[in-house]
Amino acid sequence: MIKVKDLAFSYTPKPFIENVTFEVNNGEIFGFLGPSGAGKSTLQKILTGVLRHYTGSVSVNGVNVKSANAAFYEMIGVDFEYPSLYEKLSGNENLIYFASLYKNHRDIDALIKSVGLQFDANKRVYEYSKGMKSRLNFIKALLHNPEILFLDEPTNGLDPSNALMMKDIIRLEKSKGKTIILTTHNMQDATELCDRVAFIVDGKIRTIGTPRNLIMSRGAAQITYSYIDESLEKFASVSIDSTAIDPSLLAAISCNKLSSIHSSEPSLNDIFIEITGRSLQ
Amino acid sequence: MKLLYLVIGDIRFQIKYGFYFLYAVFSVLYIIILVLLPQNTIKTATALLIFTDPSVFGLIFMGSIVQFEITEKTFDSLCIAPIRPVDYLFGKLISLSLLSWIVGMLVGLIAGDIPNLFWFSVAIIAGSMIFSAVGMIFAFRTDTLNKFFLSIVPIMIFGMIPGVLHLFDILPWWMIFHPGVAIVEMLISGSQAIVALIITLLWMVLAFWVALSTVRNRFGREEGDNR
Ligand SMILES: Nc1ncnc2c1ncn2[C@@H]1O[C@H](COP(=O)(O)OP(=O)(O)O)[C@@H](O)[C@H]1O
Ligand SMILES: [Mg+2]
Repeated sequence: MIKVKDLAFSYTPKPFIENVTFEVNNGEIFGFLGPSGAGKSTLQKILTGVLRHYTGSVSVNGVNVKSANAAFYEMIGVDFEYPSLYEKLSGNENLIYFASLYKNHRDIDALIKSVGLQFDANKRVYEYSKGMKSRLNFIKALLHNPEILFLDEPTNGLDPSNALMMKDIIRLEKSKGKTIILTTHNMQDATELCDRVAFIVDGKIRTIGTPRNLIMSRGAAQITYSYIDESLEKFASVSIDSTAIDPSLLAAISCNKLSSIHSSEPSLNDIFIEITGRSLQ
Repeated sequence: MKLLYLVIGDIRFQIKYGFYFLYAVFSVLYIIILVLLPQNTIKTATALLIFTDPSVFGLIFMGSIVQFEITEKTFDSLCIAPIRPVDYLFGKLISLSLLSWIVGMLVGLIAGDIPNLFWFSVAIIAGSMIFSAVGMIFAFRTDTLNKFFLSIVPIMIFGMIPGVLHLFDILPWWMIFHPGVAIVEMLISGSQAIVALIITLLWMVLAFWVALSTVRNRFGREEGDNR
């Protein structure tokens, strides 16, 4: 679906995006995960044909993005990380206008309802809160029912319930067979939604994998437990693959002395720090 | 078809952002001025108002519209929509020249003196399109509205003063090659109107060509562009 090979790009003479090579499969949710300034939005701009002064090859659904044309833009939907809306038009008017630029479009009222904006659809956008603008911006990308979605930090600035609603919509789009590129610096979102993620730092991809495998690849999860020993509570931990050889755990279990037990897997954030030496936030 | 939707969208934008209101105020003002003027000056005064109006508003409105789209980032959404730079350019040129034409006709018919309806209309539309195209060029090449306004001052002076002087018939004949003069010649339905039309068309082609390459550049379509 998306093939990127030896991509390099910079806004300045100093090299920035370099040696970027990856492929995204049909129907996959592929995450760009990285801290602010890593080049995620820049990558999205290259994939969507907005920035064309790159070297290397980038093709999206068989189209070389350097020659992206109207047919290409019918096929992709783009949600920028910032609102891209006419402030003095209502939410509804914005969608009607953008919809008119495409061959076909979805039912606008249904889309508005899907993100809970039905009571604000006729308000002018400048009266919207940041979260409302994000939601409107998001459904604007879905308007023409595109095959491929590019979502740049879609849940950023949303309260938890709206973020949940948006994630459900993203999953629904995936279930319809859409291919989705999801840019985020939120490891929770990436873990929940992405089939695979690319860790991006300083314009380079450090690793690509499924969230699960990335988490598992870095040693086994730890078990921490506490038990009562001579009326004192003691704490200990053991790797999950060594429980059978931990005498105090075995003893605590056989004597019913466990007072608590937890397993803790490293989070994608821990893995990110381990691999890239950088924090996501 | 897409062009039609862009024109409709631009007109909606112009209404919502107050451009029609502003234009209505000016139309009323023009009509009042013309009504108050003595009869023997109306012909010149009509031409003066109708020449300067689409030029000034073409420049300023276009600049403001483009600056709005850049600051509200809606321009970014248009760049990833299935529209061509040429549609973007002409959507705005057509909607703005239509507005100028309506105002010119209203003012001219209600209070002014229109020598020839055909030449009058051609002159308004051509004038609006040329100056709007120039407005777009400067809007994309300046990064703030203030810089934009500064940059168009010379255009207004050198683009419009010869046209105004031509109303008083004091320019040498070869000044007809000046776009402002050519537009005025058509507006007053002068003896050189046909020559003026050809000259105006050449200026239009030049203005459109530069404007289009500016828009293409901004759309990120300067290379490998097959749109
Ligand atoms: N239009 C631009 N011109 C110059 N530099 C830019 C531009 N856009 C982004 N940058 C720089 O490129 C780097 C990557 O930005 P970006 O791709 O937005 O990162 P991310 O989306 O990962 O936060 C940043 O250092 C940013 O300042
Ligand atoms: Mg970004």
